[in-house]
Amino acid sequence: MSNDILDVLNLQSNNQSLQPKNKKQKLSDNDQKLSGINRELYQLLGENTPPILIKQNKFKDKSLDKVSPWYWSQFNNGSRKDGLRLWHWNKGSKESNANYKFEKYNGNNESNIPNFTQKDYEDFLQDDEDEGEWSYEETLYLFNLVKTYELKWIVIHDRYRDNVRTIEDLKQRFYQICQRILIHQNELNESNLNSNLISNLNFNKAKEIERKEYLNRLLARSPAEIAEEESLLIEAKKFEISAKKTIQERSQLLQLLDTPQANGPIQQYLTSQGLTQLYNSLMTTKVKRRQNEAVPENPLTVLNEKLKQDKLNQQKVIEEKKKPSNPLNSLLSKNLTIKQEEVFGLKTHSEKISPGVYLRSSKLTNFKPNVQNKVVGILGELNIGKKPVMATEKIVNKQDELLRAINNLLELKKQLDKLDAETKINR
Amino acid sequence: MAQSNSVLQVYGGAIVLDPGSQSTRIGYAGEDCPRIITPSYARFDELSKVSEKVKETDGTTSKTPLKKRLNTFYGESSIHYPKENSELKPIIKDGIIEDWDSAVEQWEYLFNTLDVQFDEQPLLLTEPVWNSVENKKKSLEVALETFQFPAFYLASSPACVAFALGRPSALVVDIGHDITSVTPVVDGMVLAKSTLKTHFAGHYLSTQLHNRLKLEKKEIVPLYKVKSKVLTQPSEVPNWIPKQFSSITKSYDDFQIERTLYEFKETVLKVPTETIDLKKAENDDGTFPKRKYELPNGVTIELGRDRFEIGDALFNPEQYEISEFPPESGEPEIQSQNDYVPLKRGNKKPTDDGTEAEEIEKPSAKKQKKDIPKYRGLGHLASHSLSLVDVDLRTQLANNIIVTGSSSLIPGLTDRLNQELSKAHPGLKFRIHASGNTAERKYQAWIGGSVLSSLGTFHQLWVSQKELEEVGVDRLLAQRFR
Repeated sequence: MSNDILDVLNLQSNNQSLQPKNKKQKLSDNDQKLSGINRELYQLLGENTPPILIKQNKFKDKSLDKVSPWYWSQFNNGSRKDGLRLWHWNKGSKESNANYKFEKYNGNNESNIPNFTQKDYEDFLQDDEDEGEWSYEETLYLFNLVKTYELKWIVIHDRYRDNVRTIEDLKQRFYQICQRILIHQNELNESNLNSNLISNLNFNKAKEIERKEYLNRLLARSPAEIAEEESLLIEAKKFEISAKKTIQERSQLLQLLDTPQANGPIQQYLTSQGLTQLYNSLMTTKVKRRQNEAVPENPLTVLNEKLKQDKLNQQKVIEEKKKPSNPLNSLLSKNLTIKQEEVFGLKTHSEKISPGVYLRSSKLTNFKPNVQNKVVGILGELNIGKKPVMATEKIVNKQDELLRAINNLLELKKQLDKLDAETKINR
Repeated sequence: MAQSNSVLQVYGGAIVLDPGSQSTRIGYAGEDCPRIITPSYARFDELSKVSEKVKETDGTTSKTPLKKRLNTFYGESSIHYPKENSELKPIIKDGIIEDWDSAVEQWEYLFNTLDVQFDEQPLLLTEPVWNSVENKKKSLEVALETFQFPAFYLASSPACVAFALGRPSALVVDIGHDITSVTPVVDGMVLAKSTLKTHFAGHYLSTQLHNRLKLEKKEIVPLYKVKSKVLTQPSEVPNWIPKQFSSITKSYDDFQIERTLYEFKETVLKVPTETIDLKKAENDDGTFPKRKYELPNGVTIELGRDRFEIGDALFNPEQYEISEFPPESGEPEIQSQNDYVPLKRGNKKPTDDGTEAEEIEKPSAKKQKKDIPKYRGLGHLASHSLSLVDVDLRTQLANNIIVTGSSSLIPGLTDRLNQELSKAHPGLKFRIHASGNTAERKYQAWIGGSVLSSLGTFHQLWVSQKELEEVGVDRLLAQRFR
């Protein structure tokens, strides 16, 4: 319909020609969902986005006649021995016969902390050499606290009635008594049970105090000390890494220098027979290789090539004959002494040179950028410029020599430093 | 079907009551905010009018709470109502319930407002760490015998705060109205011996502010006195008409002034990043930007440096001495729990007596060795508490520092605390947890109580009436309320 309108207004609908299929699909998709706008009106819009919300979501009425009931009901928690019945909200049934849901998370109040009576204490637990003079009552008090607070020593120490005993005192006393009880039990039953446990119960008070002192000192460091320590650690790590690297390099080098190791057993080659066999096999492989290298040539191509070469040579001879004689050539052909050559500034090049004009100084040896920097630095130290002022051939040659010498020396210094570091590590 | 249903159990029984020195909070467990927040004050009307009836009720029963004194009122509106000759008395001082008669009546009023079912819902009460044994006994009695709750639990408020943030171990820095306290909490249990508290808290700040205003001859007029007002600038003469009352008591007036100051300091105070050097008299707006506050009578007060100095006083009270608050170092007194257990002490053999006497002398000698500063500001208080704790715990606690309490909402407080702590313990890494939500920060102990008592596993911890009968108060206190 929008197309009709566009026709009337003499406008081109651009989209139709491009993707007619897609558009149709889209429209049919939208048709189903449209509810807030008249369909004909919507089609008049064509490509444009509708200015109002054209989709209205309908909410399905859920049947609300059945509401799942929650009941305020009593329940019993299995861990309570006093039969206290508390209330909670329960879904579904009014009375929940099942166990209380959270019962499984209940803490286990039973502990395996040993018990003792006053008689036990007087019989075998008491020790005159005990530090800190513990009485039966105080020991019992400690054990009760340990049970109540489930071995949380910090809390036990906090709740302990006097301030004299340190946390280490309490621990030592407790473990000592436990150990004695276990040993006594073993003696009674003449068994060797829990021997592992007994040795584990050795509480070293002095060591514990020492440990805490260390920890205290660790925490009491000043910020400057902490920073220094950190930087030292980083430094040490760097050193370790570089040491590892040099050792690895060294070992690789040594492997290279070492005599090659046999891959397989050499037993079979030890006899004279085996030796000849080995020799034969090696010779045959050599012969084979040679044969492979010499590829047989096609005689026809060889002949063709020869003919071509002959032709070229002939042409060259003819051309040379045609050329007028060059005065420079004639000069060159003359035999001059070295001195004369120098005077004339004449020079023949044995090696090939690139065509074009260039400055001699630009032909100075260049090194890798980082090496070059070092070389330039040393030149600076020696008060020598990067490039010679008067770049005569001799000077340039000398400069080049100098540069090479510097490079060599630098290389040597590097090696020396490396070796020094290595000897330091090995010491 | 039946099985899946049995899984759906929602526990929603308990009532959580958190009495504080400024306000008392109460609500249902499992909710995120207390239902009622009311001042911890009781209004006493003139006795002459009702005295006879009171005598009657006093003689008959004291246990049933239903018969209360007729001259007392607890509703928030009745407390704020300016009635002639009626006194306002605080129920709680320093976090501890002092006036139990009023407390019981107030609670009854609150329970009735909440429509509590006394036979179905247990009660969780929070207590400060320094609560006395007598007080604990009394609260147990009140809950289980007077109100006949089926079960009761006393939870330490720092432990509740730690619970509210879901941290079993933390250093709780609570800056309330009467008391600033620092309490280490380990595995949900408070360490009473390393708990420090001072009075440099909200009330201290109000007093500082009030004193400064008095010096400048500026009067704080509470809202109830104002009939009409015209807004005036700091330079202008105040222009307002007062309401006429014949005999308003001083306690009511003080309470209302405190309330006005409460808002004043909330708007104005700020903690500076570093201690202010009093000798340097710089007053520029760059370092101390000014801020205005309009009093209920239309007078505008502008504070610049003062508002920073008062904030600074919280951290450095020595520099801002005022006569109302004597020096305090926050050193813990002899703990309440030590008072209980004389039984076993008494049983000690006579030969031990000599050593015992020595033992008692030792700690005092120890204390003398350490030089205790006269004053301890918030930063010192926290760092000292941390150094009292066992070394093994310190790193863990430093990572879990919880700042809570209404007065902790002063801007800049946590930054300053962090800075002072890091300076005192350079080897530790500190992380301060302070809720950004104002309501959460104010009622964190209540929220923690709400979390705690709605846990499915908490039921084994409730102390029931039967237990009280069978076990007895003393043993219950020693074993159940850890």
